[in-house]
Amino acid sequence: MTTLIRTELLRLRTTRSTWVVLAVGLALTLAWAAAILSNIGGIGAAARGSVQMRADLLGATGIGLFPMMLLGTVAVTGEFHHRTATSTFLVTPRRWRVLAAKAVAGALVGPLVIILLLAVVWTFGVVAGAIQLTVDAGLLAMTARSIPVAACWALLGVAVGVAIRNQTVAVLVPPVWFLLIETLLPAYGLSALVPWLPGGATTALLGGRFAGALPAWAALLVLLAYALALFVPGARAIARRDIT
Amino acid sequence: MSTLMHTELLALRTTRLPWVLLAGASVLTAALAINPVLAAGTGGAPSIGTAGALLAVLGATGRGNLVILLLGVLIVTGEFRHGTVTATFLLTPHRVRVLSAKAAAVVVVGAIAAAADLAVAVAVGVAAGALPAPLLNGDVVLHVAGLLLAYPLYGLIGVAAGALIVFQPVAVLLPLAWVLYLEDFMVRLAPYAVTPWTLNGVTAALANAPDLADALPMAAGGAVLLTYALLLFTLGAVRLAYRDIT
Repeated sequence: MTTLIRTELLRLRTTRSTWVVLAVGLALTLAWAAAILSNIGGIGAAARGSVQMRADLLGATGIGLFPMMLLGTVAVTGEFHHRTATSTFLVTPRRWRVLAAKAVAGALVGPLVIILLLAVVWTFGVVAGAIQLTVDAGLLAMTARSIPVAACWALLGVAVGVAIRNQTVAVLVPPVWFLLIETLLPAYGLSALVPWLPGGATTALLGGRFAGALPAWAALLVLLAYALALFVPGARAIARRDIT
Repeated sequence: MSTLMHTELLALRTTRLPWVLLAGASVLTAALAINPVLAAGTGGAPSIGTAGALLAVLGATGRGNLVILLLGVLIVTGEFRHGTVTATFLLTPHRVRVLSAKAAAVVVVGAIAAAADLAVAVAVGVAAGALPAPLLNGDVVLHVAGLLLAYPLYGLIGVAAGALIVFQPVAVLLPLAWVLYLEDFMVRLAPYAVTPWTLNGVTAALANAPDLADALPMAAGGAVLLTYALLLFTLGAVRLAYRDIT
């Protein structure tokens, strides 16, 4: 199993698409942070040097999570898209182990990526003079909350890929879900659902406060449950599927 | 050329994907039209019977254009994804003609989708009583006409994006991400004068921009949007014409 995980990590490290996707995540995060900085002094914007400003800026890494989730999805769908699934499953006939290794690799890489993004944005904010150069408990807590979120999103990405397999559809589903469907739900009187959905659980786990928000541990369990609920049936289907 | 276009329309008519997309556009429109009806009179949303609610319900036709954009991307990239592009270009070596036929077919489907989505929004509005006749004036008609004109134009942009990018997952994500998020990002970092000339800016101008300051005049917005679409289409056609096909 460790060999499989190391293989996945090797593949991630040595393909160009990984770095392109991560660069896109970094660029999006920085663009968002720049937008927040340019808004200082505007209506409703946090003040320079305030704790809220730091939270806003570090929250910009949320957009960087989408490319990272994509990485997990493509790790699975790419095998079918490029027809490498045949040789992969010939080398490792226990198919679920291959899929589990992809999930574990994602869960290992996700936290590294989010720490890097947080560090870059924090540095950006300090250099721009919008964040005070102090490390306090609040900063550490935010970082500590971001790590399980990143791991869960990477797992969700892999799980979406396992469940859907068609690359084009699989890469479209997470953005449409998080940015369109979940944001529209409250307007239809379904606000009660929000804490139990992946986006709501993510916000709760990150420490966001809204009506009905779950405690962090419950939010973590909800996110893991979604990943499992997508992964297990998908993995069973892949295990029994004819591969040409 | 008309044979090619009929072929494309036949392909669209007899495969499942376009129907799924058309249904998706209708569902999206219905969801967006029902939203202001349900929210009416609460939380600052305009009440039924006001011009605000009328514009919100009819404005639900303002997002289906993205579905047609998706159709445009898929009709081109699908050829590459399924490897049918080799046979297609062997049968019709004039590749620009193939691409033009695809664009024409998407424009036709876009027009149909626009009509269908308008019907959906009007049905929701009439059922909810949100479209009182005295409130329908020329500006509202122009607004809706602009929203509907965006369907075929976005379809053209989708075909162009498909020809430029070809790799389906990226070709699907990038234009949508641009319209919905990236452009907004970029604009915040650019001088304000750029805003009316962005894709969203000219689309709003074409829709007789009821809620946008400094928008171009409607005709200018439409002309600029058409220019963008044709420019992208030309780039895509050139790119496709010189691409190695295996």
